[in-house]
Amino acid sequence: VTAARSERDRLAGRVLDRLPAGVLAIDDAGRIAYTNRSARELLDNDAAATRCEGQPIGDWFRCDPPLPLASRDLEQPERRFTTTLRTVDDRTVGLGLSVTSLPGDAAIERLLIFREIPDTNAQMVEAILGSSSGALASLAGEFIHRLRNPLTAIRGLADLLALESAPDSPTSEYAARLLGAADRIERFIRDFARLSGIEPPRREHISVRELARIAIASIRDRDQRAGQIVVQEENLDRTLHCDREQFSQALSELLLNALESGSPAAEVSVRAALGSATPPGRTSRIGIEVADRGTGVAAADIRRTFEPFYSTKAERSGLGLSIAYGYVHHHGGSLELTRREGGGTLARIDLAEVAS
Amino acid sequence: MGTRILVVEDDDSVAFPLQVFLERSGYDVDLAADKARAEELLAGTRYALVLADLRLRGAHNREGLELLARVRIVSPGTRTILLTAAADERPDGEAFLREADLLIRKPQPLPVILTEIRRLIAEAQP
Repeated sequence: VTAARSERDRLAGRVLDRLPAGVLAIDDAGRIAYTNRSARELLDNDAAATRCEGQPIGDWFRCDPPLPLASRDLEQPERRFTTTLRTVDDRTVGLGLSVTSLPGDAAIERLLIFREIPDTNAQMVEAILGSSSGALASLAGEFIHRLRNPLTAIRGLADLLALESAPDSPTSEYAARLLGAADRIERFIRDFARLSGIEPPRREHISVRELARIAIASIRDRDQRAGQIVVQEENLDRTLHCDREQFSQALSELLLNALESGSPAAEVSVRAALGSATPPGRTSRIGIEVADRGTGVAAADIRRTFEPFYSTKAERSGLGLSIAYGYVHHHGGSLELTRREGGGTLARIDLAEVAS
Repeated sequence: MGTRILVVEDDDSVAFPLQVFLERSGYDVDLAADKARAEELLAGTRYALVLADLRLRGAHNREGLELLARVRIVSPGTRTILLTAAADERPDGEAFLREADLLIRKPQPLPVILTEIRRLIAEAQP
């Protein structure tokens, strides 16, 4: 009987290890009791030869929103939700997750089954960028050109209307509203042109200080509070090898997003952060971080923020962060948004550093 | 006789407000919808400034630029502005500026265009 049971356990283990989904069991002390191969691939840090089994779940499964592990959550037999996991090697991964409660079993009190959700932002932006030199880009170019001519006519007529109407008359207000709407369409067209026509970067050596200066100067006319943004001095003279225009634009999109988050402008800051955990032999990386104390992004939405047309602000095109993502991605860098403790958002561009 | 400007634009809905606005601002304005008509007008009239759209009716989408290159030769004292609605964020601006004094992207507020026209004409005067 023992031999038969042991053979069955071995078989069960092999079956579980072949599942594309991660399976993880937690004991009643909150430690990881079992992981299948998919779970280990996601959680274990092979470089540091650390293993998650036997360790407290909270140390290894850092996700936002967090796992429902309070004792009252045991009453619910199963929960399904999506979350963002930060792995031990500091990647963020979207997960679709189910937590099943098995009260009364000390060895397995909860069972987690999860699968990685593909990064739709990257896929979508990649699809657009990949076609930059192709048919979609030229179609978009023609579309933009044809849209701009009638828009120029509307804008011109509204200018004339404004000129002809008495100050404070209803006609003057109509003209002002017409001009406002025309400007909004143009902002949208301009952002769309940027996104659909992203060119390969023209790289040069440029310091983080210079990038921050250009980015802040470029948004002064769109948000007068730009002057209050705090640029932290540390590491500012570190040098990146990047396209001056694209990177400063990416940074200004992140700054505008921070200023429009409801954060006091003086709480919006830019800093250059050195990669803390660069493995030996790999190029050092540098982060440019934009932090705010605004309303933040709901955990469920944080992975959608770079999707084209995703915006919670009516006056924005919903393309600004996609453009930033596209520029950074084209440089081989990464861009991430995370929620800050105490409220607000942290946007981090991560790119290889070149020697100063 | 007032200062004369030639507006070369094949889209009447764009040309109309521009013409009215410039006339109200004190200029005499002639309109041409294509390159051939613009060349006819240029042969008989001296213009202080020619403002042309980059893409006019034609085969290769650069008729406005070709026209301004011709203006440089036949009327070197005439100032030129090229208008474009192109999507390209980084067009070959320097190449355009070999033929035109200024590149203006559509849409622009008419008062902004007027300011640039006044500046260019003032600079050309001895």
